[in-house]
Amino acid sequence: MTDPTGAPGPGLTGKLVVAWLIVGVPLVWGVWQVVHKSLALFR
Amino acid sequence: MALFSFLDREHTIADARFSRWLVPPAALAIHLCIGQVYALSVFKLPLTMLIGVTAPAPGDWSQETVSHIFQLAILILGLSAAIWGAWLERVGPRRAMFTAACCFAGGFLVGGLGVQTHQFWLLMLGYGVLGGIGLGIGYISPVSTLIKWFPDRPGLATGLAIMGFGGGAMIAAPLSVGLMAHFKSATSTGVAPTFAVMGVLYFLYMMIGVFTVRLPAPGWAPPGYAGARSDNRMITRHDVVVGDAIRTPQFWLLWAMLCLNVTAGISIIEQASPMIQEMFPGVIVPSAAAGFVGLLSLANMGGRFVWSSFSDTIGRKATFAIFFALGCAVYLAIPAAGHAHKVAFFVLAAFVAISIYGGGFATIPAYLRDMYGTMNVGAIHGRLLTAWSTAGVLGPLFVNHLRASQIADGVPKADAYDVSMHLMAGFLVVGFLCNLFVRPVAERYHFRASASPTDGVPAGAGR
Repeated sequence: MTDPTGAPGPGLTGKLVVAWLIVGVPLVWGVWQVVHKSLALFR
Repeated sequence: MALFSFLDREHTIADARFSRWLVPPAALAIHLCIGQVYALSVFKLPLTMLIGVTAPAPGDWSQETVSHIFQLAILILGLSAAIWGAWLERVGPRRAMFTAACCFAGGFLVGGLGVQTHQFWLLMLGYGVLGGIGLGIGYISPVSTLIKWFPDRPGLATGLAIMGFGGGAMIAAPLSVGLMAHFKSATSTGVAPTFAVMGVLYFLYMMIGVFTVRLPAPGWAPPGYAGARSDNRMITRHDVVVGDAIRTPQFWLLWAMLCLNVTAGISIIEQASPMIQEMFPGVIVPSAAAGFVGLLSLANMGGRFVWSSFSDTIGRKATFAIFFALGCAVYLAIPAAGHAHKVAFFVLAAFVAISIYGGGFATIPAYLRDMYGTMNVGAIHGRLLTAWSTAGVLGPLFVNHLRASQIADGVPKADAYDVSMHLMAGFLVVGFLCNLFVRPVAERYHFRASASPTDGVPAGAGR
């Protein structure tokens, strides 16, 4: 049902990048907030 | 209704150009939102000062009263996952995700109204009941879809999604604090407008998942995937319907394993901040304790992805055996580290313990897939989540009661953790034994297309 090579086309690659950025950016921001505060443990 | 026909299962089937790697972000869009429930504690103090604003005043809710909101939400999470799991399998993930978004966001709006009018029952009805239903349906809605898209790596797929549930709190906590600071005034703590804004934001964000998710076409398989290895008896090539699954001993063994693992994790999470401060007086100040709590949330999130992905390599039974054996060792090590005044060792042990707590959540759906096949795995997972509700409600009560009775008996505060940690190690030994008894499901439970399932929901049976 997919491209036999499994490789996404150019439009699909764009969609994948956007989809992962939409979830990745807030997640990384949240993780950074925690890491930033956790550094107090080692100060 | 034609207006909502885009939610139908048949409109969710992927075409040939769709990439399965779009499904994990869709699942994350849901789990990153509903994971907010773990950050509910940031509202705890402001909710006790709705009348007094700067300090609790007569008529304000107590902290104990407010803590019931979280307990109710977790209770409803498990119940709704159990009740609507079979419905989810029938209608497909998109309608389920949409329903979850409406309930979760609606819960914030109704809860916000309860805060604004200072009616606790309305807050409980909104965030606890309506929001709890959104949590339950939202939690299980992408899991079976991911397992169907990633039959070759179900642990990785479910780990990615359920990692979002752990990560959601990391986003929600600073977001909530920032919004409350923005809306705070001389006459308001800013909780009600914060609830309203979060409800709208979460609804919109969850819609990304609703519109992105797709089901694989019947018979679809990843390129090069030829099905589960026939020589591995712990991965079934058959399906079991949900009604039959709960009659198997394997279901109840897995239920007990999840319940015990969650209870053990809660015993640390529930008292992490006071525990490290009381075990290391004069060494760990409150800000450092807050950092320790933050580290544990990282372990909770990371453990979900790392352990679950690892289970694809070594198998689910071996992974849970490691959880319980290693878990037992680290729960014994925690009080020992306290007595030896080894902060780094204590932090490391707690970090591993909480990674195991998260790993259990993320690996259990793949374990269910291995036992019962993919057909009803979402519904079976929903029923299993009652173990989480049980542990989530009874666990903190049990741990707090145990500690209180120890202190009442004259045990020093720092030493009062010993008994609970040793008891949790014992729980994990029981979990290890349960895992040891898990065997492949008997053939008589396997679904046959010609048979009429009593309580089952064969995949694709949706209208």
